Amino acid sequence: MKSFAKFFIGAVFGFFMIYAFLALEFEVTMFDIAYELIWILGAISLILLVLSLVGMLQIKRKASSPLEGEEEDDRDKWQYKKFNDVSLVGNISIIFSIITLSIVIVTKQELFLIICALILVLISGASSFVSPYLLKVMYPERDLPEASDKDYTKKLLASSDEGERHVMLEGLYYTFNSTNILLVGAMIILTVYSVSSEQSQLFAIFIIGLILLTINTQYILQIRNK
Amino acid sequence: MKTRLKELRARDGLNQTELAKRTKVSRQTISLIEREELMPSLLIAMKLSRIFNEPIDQIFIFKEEELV
Repeated sequence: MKSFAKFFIGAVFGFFMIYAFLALEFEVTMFDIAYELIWILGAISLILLVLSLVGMLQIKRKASSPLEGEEEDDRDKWQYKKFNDVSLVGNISIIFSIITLSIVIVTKQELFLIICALILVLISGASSFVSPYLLKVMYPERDLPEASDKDYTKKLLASSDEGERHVMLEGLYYTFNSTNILLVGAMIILTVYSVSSEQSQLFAIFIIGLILLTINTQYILQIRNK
Repeated sequence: MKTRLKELRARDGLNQTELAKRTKVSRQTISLIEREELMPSLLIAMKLSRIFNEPIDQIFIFKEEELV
């Protein structure tokens, strides 16, 4: 009964919010602020890329020092957290660089900006290939796959132990659920925006729908066939 | 399930990393078992039993109702 009341209040609130947005008739155009946006997003991506590279160097430096006892455990805890931080920062850098390149191309900016954005995407993308090397530096005793190996991700999953899989499962399960909710939310926002701005976002809605179909089918087929 | 892993590790002067290397698992796995957030597989339990020279049911202690 309590959850029904929450659902009902949420539905009523959502209805009035969407109704208000539809009445607003607003429009967000990227073209007016594209140039500034490109520099801001590009700079953020570059800063994050540098931070990620600095983090990688810190891990490499710390991994080579011989330690014993509690200090060895503390180093491993630090390395594990740092590696995850570096991965997150690196991934955000890649996403920002791709958004920057997209804006540059869509708003038809000058060639110089296209080349800069492309280089940023390539460098931030290439930095993600350092992760397998870093893992080998952190865990030299473990039989980890090479970045160049065929089916690298499959082999990496196979080389992880039950504790690591337990942690990954928890993380991925929550991420999968939130991805579904966020993508449906994005479809609703794009629909409301399409109606209020009279600029069709149907193509984006269609692509998001396709992604939702793909990830859900992939997940069900993976667990169904086991 | 309760575990005496931390106590046994202290008894034998092993840190988590050393125990992980001897068990051939990651330190994270040892840490999760110690914090009672992960019930280990029979294989890991057997390895720990051998390392500490203790029977499995002396390392991992279950309540009676968990075993019924």
